[in-house]
Amino acid sequence: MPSLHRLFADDPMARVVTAGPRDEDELSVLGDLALESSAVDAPLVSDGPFVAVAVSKSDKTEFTHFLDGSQKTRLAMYYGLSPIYLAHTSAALLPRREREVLGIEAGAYREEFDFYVPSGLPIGDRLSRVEGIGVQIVTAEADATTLQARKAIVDAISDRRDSLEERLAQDFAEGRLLIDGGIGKALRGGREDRFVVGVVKSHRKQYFRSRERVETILGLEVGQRTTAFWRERDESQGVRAISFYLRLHERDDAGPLHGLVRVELPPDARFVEEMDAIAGWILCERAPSSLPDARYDRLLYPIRLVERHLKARQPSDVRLHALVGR
Amino acid sequence: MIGRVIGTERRPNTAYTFQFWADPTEKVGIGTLVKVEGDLEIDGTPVTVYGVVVEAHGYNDLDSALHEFMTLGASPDQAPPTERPEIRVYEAAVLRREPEEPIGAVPIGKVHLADEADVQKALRTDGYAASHGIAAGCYGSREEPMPVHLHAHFLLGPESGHLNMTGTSGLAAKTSFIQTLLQSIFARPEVFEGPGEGRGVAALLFNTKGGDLLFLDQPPATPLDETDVALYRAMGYEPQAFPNVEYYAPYESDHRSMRTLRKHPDLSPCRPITFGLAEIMDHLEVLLSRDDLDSKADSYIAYLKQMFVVRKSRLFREARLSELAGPEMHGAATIEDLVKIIDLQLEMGREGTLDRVDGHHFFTIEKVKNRLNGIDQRFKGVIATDGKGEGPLDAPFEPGKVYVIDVAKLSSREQDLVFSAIITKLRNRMELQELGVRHLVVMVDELNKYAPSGGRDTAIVRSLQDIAARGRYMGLTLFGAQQFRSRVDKEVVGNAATHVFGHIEAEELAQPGYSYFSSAVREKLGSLNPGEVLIKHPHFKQPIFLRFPRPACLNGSDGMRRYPAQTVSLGDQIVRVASDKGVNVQWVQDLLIERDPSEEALRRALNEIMRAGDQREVQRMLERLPKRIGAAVAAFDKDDPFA
Repeated sequence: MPSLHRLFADDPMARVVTAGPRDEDELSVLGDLALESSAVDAPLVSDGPFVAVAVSKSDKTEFTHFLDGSQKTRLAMYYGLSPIYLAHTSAALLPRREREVLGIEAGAYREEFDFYVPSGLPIGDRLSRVEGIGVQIVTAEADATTLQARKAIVDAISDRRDSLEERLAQDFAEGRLLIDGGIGKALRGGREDRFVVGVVKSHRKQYFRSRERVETILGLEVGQRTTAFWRERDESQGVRAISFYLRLHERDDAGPLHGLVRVELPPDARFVEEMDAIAGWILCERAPSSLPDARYDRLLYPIRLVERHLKARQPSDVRLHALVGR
Repeated sequence: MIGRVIGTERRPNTAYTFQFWADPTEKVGIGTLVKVEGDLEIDGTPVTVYGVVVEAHGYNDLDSALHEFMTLGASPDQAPPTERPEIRVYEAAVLRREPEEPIGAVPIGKVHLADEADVQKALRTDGYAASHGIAAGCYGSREEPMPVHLHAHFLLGPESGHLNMTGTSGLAAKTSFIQTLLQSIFARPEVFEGPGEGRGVAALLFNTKGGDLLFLDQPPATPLDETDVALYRAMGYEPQAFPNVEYYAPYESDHRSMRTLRKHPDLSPCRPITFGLAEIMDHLEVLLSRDDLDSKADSYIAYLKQMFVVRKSRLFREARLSELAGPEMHGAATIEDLVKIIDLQLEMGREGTLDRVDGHHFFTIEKVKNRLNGIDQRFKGVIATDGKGEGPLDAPFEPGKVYVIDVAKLSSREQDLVFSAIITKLRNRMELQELGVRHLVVMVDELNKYAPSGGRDTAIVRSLQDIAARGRYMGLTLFGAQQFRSRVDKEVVGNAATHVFGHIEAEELAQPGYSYFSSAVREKLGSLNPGEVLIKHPHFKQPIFLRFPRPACLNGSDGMRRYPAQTVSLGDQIVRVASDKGVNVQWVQDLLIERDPSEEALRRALNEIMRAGDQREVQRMLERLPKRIGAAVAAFDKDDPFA
């Protein structure tokens, strides 16, 4: 099987690079920096003030399945100044029975392994000769800078991973599913009757603007949630969902978002009724702890297990090095 | 399939060890045999590796104990909604690989529990189990025992030989294991037939404690349970007590009855074992203090033996003295005789105003005399009164027979004498190839007492070293046992090809000799139950844990309860022996009443008929019983219902 280095050995425009095996995935860093603020406060689901609500204490949880996606990205080469990335994206849905999160069952895992190439580069044919790896052309402006090209690739990889998660979520029928992230795409196609709950750990997009909302959200104590609001439909997040903020953990010396998650529920009246119970289940999922993961304050343990399953199936650094060929 | 081999850059698999993971519910533990099937093929042969588990690790994804503490809010009884996944990782040592070459690292592959065929392959018993296999016990669960065989040529010789067993007294069941192994040996007489010196196997055992080995010919007090029966069945033979056992014991100090706990009218009687003066002279180092035996005393003792014990001689060797003493020939059959000769030498020497005789100074002679004086009193019953020893070594050993020498009621010094004399005699017979069987197994317990480490140079150590070094070529096999292997002479232990370990105390396990075992194996050795052993054999690349059945004979404590020692008259003993050999009981009783022989005649007759081969010979011997004149004391117990 030809490596990238061999394929592009005679091309003066190509420069194959090798990231160190422990180098940080630079695209995920790039992704984290992208924040969107809201121009207005999101509309509330019910009439009334936006306040902190103490969640009824629950010693049980009824989630039966857990879904998460993962990606492993490496800068493979430059063509001119355009970066070409190699990314493995995957998603898995794991069941939990009698307190045990089981392994990946048939049909509950999806993966893709592709080069991500900015459009307009004449190298697609050569890349497609690398066995077992697809080529995704990412639309980018002809005069896009390296940073812009990278941002387009970040989005493309993220979309790819989301689509894998979305397909698994759409296939889900029986049980109560907890998704790492939003549920908008999972609910597409009029499947809003299923029991699907999303826990969003990142706060790239804000749904509050006014001072009192900011104070209410950041002032949440452990075990408190906010009044429910609508997370409106949009292109990147899919259909509209009921949402609220929930404080899982608190630490005096940590930032304001420490332990704060945003929960998404399907836009159905029964979820409004069950909202408090569901918040209780999520609080219950705080044990066992996800330590030593740095995101332990927001990362629920079953989701961490799904992540670990996914990471175990990712191509090894050695394999990535072999593909790049130097 | 129970798991898969794993190898990481930090802990790669090697040619001799590998790791694999398995679900915690799989029946895998220290000592489990496993088979690895790799995808790799060499010259068309799939690579298969057999291994034994030597270490086990278990963990979950917890990074720090503190995280668990924080998770549970210091409430250990709290059960979080999700259990942390738990995994077991095992380390195994390679037993065998197929193909044998090249000896490469163990491949990443599927791991299976070994079945019976796999066990045979892993331990290489597949090549010899049918032709030369001696079942040592079983591997596997109680429900599915799989026999494990030792190679007869490597257990008893001539390829290699000797067995050494280590274990805590009372917990390791050393005696039980060796009894069972002897049963396995006797169960396969065909292995020891065919071309070669002698045929068959006999065993000579020393009973050193209570009644341990005194009831080997009796069935157990309680029937063997199903597990034990299944073990015997897997090992290939039906359990039964030893059918052919002879018991020997020294006399009591009055030389009338035997010094043994096996004294019961329902049991065949013990035969006497005594030592003549010549044997005593060879083992004076056992009887005397080491300080007494300097080179001068040693030389004088050798002189006495040569002059007066082996043959008769004139009183002095030197011509001048010899003229003085006259032509009378002197010989000694007992210590008493010898002391009289020494007295005579001293007396005549002093009359001639000499300070030495035949080159030996009076001081030396006085010293030896002093030490010899009273030996026969202190070792009464062990030393023959007529200078002629008796015992099992006077005739060739018989195949399939067990000879038990009961020394349990002897003092430590007396035990040393018996043991030393027998071992030396065995060695001599071994040298002359006069054992009479292809293999004689000698079981010696308490090796750390008889062959201690530290270089003590005694006749017994030398004999044991010699047997250990050369015995296997000459048909003499040592089954040694001890509590502390680290305290036994290295040559004696090192020459054993098969090593067995029962329960061993932690202090002993901490000795450097056990560093060969992984820490988990050492831990398991420290907690083995009776009936479980770890065994090393030349054909096994790694030691294997085995289970062996309870011996199918009466153990010492049950035997003492069932057959409490009681005085049995010589007449009753004769009736019992004659009856065992098929002679009519009434005929014997009538004969004894009619002849009313003396006690001495009865004892002689008893010894003779015990050696007799068949009924006719016994009858002939009894018919020769002399009639006592003028006495009418019945020789047998009148209360005996058979009388």
